[in-house]
Amino acid sequence: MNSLDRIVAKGVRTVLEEDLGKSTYKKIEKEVFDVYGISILDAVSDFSKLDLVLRKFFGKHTTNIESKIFKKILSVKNNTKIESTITIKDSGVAKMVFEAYGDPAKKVILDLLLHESKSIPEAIAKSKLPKASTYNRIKELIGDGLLTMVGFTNASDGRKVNEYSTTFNKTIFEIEDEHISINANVQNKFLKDSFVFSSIQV
Amino acid sequence: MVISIPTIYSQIKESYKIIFAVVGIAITIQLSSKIPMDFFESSIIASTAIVMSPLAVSVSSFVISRIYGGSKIFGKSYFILGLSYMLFFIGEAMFYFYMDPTDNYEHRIIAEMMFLVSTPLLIAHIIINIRYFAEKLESYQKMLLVVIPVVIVVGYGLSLLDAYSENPGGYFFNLLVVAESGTSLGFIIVAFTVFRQTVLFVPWFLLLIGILFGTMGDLLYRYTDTIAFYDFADPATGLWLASSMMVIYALYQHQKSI
Repeated sequence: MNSLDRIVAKGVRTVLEEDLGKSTYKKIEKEVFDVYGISILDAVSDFSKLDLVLRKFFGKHTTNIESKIFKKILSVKNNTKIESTITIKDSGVAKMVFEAYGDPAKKVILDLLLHESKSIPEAIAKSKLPKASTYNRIKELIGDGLLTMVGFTNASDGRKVNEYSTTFNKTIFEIEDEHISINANVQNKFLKDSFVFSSIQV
Repeated sequence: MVISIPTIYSQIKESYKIIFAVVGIAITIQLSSKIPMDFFESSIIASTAIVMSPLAVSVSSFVISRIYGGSKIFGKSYFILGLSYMLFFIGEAMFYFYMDPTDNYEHRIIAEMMFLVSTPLLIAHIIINIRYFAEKLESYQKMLLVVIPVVIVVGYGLSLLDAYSENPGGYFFNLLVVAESGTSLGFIIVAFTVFRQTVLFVPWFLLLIGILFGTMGDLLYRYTDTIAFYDFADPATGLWLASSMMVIYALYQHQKSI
């Protein structure tokens, strides 16, 4: 799943509940479970499944509704051919990103992978942090969409392993009272296969 | 997963018995006005039902709004629908508790203003829902929004042209109410086409029938009011009652569907 989609997934529940109410969200949640036998959080992580369930509810208007939901969470502005700026407007999603950058160990990992992509074992070795907790934190960052898989490399034992880099190149946090918003630069190649990005471009 | 589009019949087959029951109850109450009673006026059941039914719709709408937790679309739009029927109720209550018993219609305009403000709120409810779900309206939907009210207003206006010279003020006021009613019918038909292939098809189909009954009731009442005097045994009574009951059923179906 695309990193940007993972980031946005955290805000879908909030927006759906705000727009259509908790009872509607619960009905969608039940339908997801009845059809796929998975929780809605898992379905949100794979938008194609949530998309099919939403289509059952809202028919041809689903694309429009998804676009509205995603636009409430973020906006994307194309800067150059290589890079775009995304603005995360949803406070819950922004808080999740803010907390990740505020965690000292996660910050070390994010700094390490900012300019150079690395495999997980390489990142653990270079971070000089405790192995087990660093591994868990890297997994969390991947799950939250803040690290993106960019390719493969060979490990010391010859195995082919994934290489990761930070999803955002430059991140600016704006805090006003209790509201947090984020402006972040992201490489256009990370947006290519994003369901969210294609939805809000419609 | 295969998404099949259900037929209209398959979706409303559970509802049609209730639709017939609603119409039956409404006609029975309307006709009860013709049965002589010893201790009460014959119209007591019909007049009480007419004043209480908008209150029932209003309370139901507020309950539905509460069920949707005050959410931006469903919560807000059903709250507005509740306000619309509350104004409708206040207008009816003024007739029931003050004007009809005292036979004093000096302040009738206040009640009429309640009805006049009530319909734009109903239209606002429909617009909020259409705007959230449909990105933009198709050409035929835009045409419906214009054609339906125009046909109703022109038809009504021309059929009562003779009454214009006798009471121009009343003629134009009734025409204004009919125009509002026709506009709401146009919007509800468009909303029905918007929700045709969604899980909200049944509630919006029922709401369409409800608003259609209401518009027909308004037209008949305004027609009668212009040329003669309204009587509780008139078909407008049955249509209004059927309209309110149908809207309550549509509300129930809405919260059941989503």
